[in-house]
Amino acid sequence: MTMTHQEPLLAIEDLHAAYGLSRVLFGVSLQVDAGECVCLLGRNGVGKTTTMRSVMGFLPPTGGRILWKGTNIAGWSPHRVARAGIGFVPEDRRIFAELTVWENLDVAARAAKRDGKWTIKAVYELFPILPELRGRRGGFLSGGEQQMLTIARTLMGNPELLLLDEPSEGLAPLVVEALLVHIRALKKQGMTILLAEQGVDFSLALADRVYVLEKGTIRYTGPAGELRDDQKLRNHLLSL
Amino acid sequence: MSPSFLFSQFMGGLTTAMFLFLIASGLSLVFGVMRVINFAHGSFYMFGAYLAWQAVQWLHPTGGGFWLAALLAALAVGLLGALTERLFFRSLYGREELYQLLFTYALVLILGDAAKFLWGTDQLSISTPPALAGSVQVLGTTQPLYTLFIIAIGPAIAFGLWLLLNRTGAGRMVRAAQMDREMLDALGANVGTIYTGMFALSAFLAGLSGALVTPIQSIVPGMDVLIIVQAFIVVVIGGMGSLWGTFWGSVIYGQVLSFGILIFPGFSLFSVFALMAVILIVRPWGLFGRPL
Repeated sequence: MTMTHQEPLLAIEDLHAAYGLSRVLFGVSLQVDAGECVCLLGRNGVGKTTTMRSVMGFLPPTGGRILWKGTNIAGWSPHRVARAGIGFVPEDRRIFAELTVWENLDVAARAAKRDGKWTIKAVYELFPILPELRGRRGGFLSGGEQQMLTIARTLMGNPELLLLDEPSEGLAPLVVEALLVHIRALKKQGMTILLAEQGVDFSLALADRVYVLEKGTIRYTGPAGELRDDQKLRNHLLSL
Repeated sequence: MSPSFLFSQFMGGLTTAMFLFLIASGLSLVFGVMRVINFAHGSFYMFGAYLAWQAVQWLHPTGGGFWLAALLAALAVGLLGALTERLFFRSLYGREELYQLLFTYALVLILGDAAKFLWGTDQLSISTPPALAGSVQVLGTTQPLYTLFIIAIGPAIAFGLWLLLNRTGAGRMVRAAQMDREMLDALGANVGTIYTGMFALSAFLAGLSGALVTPIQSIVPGMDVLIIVQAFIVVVIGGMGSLWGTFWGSVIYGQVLSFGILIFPGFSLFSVFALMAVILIVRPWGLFGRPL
């Protein structure tokens, strides 16, 4: 774990969460520093999405703390978390299907009420495909276009941390390539990102640090480079 | 049957229609956004009528002050709507329809008794505002100005609501909440406030229509239940949650009722229920609705 003297932007401590009686997270701890891209890696059903939903306030944790700039936000309502500066890009994209591209972005700006550098003009620059589609309804976009709109929509709230849940899921390889370029550009602009992924290549191409999640606990944590270079370790952690 | 007689039937049907639309629009709005069937909507309508009467008594016991009274009554009912949403309806979202039905029915009973307690069981009435007390000759028929005013206000409200929902930022938020409440929440919007606002608007429209009906109909206990059945039919015919569906549903209802009387005298409501049955068999989701 990188040692920094400043406070981490997000620190999750011993997080426990459950859907009813079925427990999903068993003491997950992780932290994200400002400017970092951290990846939560793991197979389907290990608790990546649950961790993100707990941070967002959709699923109040049954134990542990979620510290956002030092304040415990566990149990806050989603809109309060969003207004505090955490932007969520859900895996199923959740575009407002009957609103146009422009309306989707406008609604997001009104929802978060956070001013900053991300305006409609700025997200159009990051995703040049969007201005061409501005009048099209969200439901009529391709999967890749929707994924870009979802990220752009979340950016409209000027978040300080972006939670990206499985952005590459269900997209064609070429589209994933394009998405990678966009997210990397975002990272270069200084955006802090917590990424949940099953795709090892995708996440290792972006992440500075990696947490490998298994059955609701952190099994490995280290710099992404270590996992990238060590085929054996990667197989050991991820092919089980 | 002379053309002027048919025309006057048509105008009568249109008046019924626009009144029903005023009431049903709020019912449709709340169902469309929150997926709650509010049977107490008719009670809000009744309270609009009683409160308008009360306001006239306070403002101008000798008559007059109708417009201000109607506005005050509608605002008060809007506030009542916002309060009931905050206190009660909030816990009903996403529950089974049965709970919603039971709760809103309880509200109908409570508000009905409250009205009897406050204003008694005598018929009350308000005189037509002087500016619209006259009438004009149209195609050989005599049309009261107040009726023409009601016929004009229906489309005006429909267009206004359409503009609000489709051409304003607040309307976009409402439509987003309708599509995916959880996602809008995650983007930072306080969806609870949006819901309260929609509910208040819906109650305001019910209160306004209750106030506006007073120069034509007397205010009596039971007017709440009578109207909610009709408003409900209109919303079902048009398609639950569709604003234009509710508008055209009202127009069809009014005309079928108005001309149905000529064909089946004594069974005026029969034609309306027959129409609803046919529509529900052919298109269970209503004329403008979408399959659920």
